[in-house]
Amino acid sequence: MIAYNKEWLYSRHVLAQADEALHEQCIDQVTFNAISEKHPVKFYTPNFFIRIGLAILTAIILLFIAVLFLLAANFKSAGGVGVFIGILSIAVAEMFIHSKNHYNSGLDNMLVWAGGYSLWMGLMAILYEGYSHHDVLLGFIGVIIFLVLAVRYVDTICAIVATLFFLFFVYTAYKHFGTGWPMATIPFVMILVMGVLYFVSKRAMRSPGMLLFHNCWLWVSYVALVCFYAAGNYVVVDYFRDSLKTTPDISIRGPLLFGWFFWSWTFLIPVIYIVIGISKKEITLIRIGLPLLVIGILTFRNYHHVMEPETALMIGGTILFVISYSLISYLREPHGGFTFKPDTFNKEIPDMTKIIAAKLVGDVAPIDNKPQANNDWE
Amino acid sequence: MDIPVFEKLQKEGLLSTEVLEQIKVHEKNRHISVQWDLRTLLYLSILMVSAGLGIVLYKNIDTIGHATLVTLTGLLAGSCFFYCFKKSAPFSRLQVASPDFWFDYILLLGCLLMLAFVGYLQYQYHVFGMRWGLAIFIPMVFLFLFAYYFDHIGVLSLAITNLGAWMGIAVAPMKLLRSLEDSDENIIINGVILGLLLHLFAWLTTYINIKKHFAIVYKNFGLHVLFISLIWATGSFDNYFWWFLALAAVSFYHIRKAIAARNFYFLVASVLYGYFGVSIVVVKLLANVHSNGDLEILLGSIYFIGSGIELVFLLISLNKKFNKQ
Repeated sequence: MIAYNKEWLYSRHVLAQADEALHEQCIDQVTFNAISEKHPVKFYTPNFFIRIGLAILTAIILLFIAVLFLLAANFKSAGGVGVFIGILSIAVAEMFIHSKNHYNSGLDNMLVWAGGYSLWMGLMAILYEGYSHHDVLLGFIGVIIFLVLAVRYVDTICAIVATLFFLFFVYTAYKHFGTGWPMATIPFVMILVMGVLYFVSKRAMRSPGMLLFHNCWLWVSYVALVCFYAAGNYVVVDYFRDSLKTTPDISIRGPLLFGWFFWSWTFLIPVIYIVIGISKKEITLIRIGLPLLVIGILTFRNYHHVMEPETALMIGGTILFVISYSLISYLREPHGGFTFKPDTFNKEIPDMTKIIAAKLVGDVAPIDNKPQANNDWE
Repeated sequence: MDIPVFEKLQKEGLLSTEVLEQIKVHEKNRHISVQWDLRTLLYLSILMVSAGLGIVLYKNIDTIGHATLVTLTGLLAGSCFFYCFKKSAPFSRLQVASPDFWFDYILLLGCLLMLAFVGYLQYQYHVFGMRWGLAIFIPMVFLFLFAYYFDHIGVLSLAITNLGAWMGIAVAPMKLLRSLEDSDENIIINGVILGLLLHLFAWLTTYINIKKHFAIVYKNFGLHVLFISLIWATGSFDNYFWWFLALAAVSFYHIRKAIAARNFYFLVASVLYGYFGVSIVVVKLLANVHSNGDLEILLGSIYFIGSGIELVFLLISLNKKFNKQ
């Protein structure tokens, strides 16, 4: 089922854990060496910047192969060319994975992503003509293609795209029931579907059989959380009601049906995310909840002009300053499982990103150019 | 940490029971770091209050008056610098740690206020007359001084950005005299000069051993400015051959330097910039082929596919070479 060597994938996870344990001084270097000897990883995964370079070059090559084939087909039958390029790039990805042991090398990632996209585009172009439920099919084929790719290549991006296609599929399929009651209940259906998806992903993450797909499920759960909120957000519901108004039966104006429900949803869900995040020590829930709360406030301001923007900015800024300042002071010493001390273990970010960050945000944000000094809170 | 993995490792005989217990206890008592989150919130709150304040001042400029506002901005900037001078350690040629958590924020705030102060003075009172360049040059000099004195990469980046703006502005009045194309040429040439100048700074910083850690910042800005200017020149000038030659020489130099320093970032950037330059020349040459269009597309596609595959293998082999070193 999985294209990559499963044993190496597991060993990779084990080594990442051991590396963290070594950094936290739970194990010594000798133990780490013994673990890495017993769990070797022979994947070809080059340096982060080489990966970016390889991905860019692969995209250029694929683009011009497509141009070449389109030229050969006299710029007709784009659908066929799309399907062919899709199958070709996935076949090349398989070749690199099996013969050269590529894993996250930039090359295999781009081949799989571009392959999936090209296949989907090609199929859509072929099926487009003369099919009345084209929008439903668009989502359905997207789900199938990207789900298969996510499973075969343990790919998080494909998993996220599959989830979004699934969302689109449910929405379009439900819309085809008609314009009366189905339209009024769409938000609840989406909430239900995303809620179920979140709990399924949470269960999957706990299952030992899904260990290799942990990251995929994690990101599916994040997407589900955001969409779960969005499905009930007042402005989103209102927008979709408006977008459907072109159909003759609908003549709804003024406040939304179940408006009180959607308003409570707009404000309560982010708060619930944050509260659960704090109580269960899940930082991501807090990180998702906070921007959603801001979106909730902006949603409210969209309908009710309570105060001037500058007053709102100053009051909001002051409240935020007081909260963050007090929390920084409070968490100088760890409390309730949280701390202001920096997390020194960083698996993903290479050193040079700091320089890129300095280049990009140098003129707007303070740069942590003195890491040893940032801990000194006096 | 994934406890079941460690339990398996213990069963495999790679971990002792005591170590496993220690890992479990460590994981249970582990604290999640929210430093990044709280810093972001703090930064956002300051941004919100200052934006709100800015709008209030803008709306009420008639009642407050320009003089009051300029004085206030100047005083605020002055107090920020006063705090920084009071808190900071004496100047050193080496890297210096900032004295406390607020220092970086206050220094940056002071620098931004100083820029606003000088800009305001020039915009409202024309302190520097028609010499707009001077209104950028003077704060730039101060920014460089502060960056070196207080050892702050953020302020250094601001200073470099100002240097670029100053060089851009210095050529702008010529727009009145020359056509648009000519003034574009001036901007491109200034870009090349700026890129070379930043490379010189990077070299000098290391050579005279003053804040050596700034060299990488100069080099990073310099590399992008120089490459983009040269690629732009190759693409837009009629006599592009010499510009292309310069681009090829710069790419060659940077690739060699990156290999010697084992720096993947500069290596990939130099290889890709060089590739774009070569591709522009190939596309320009193909544009001279007179056919119904298909031949150019065919040749162009074959070039991009062939060269792309060649570069993929080049990057893979360079990565292997680096790993062997």
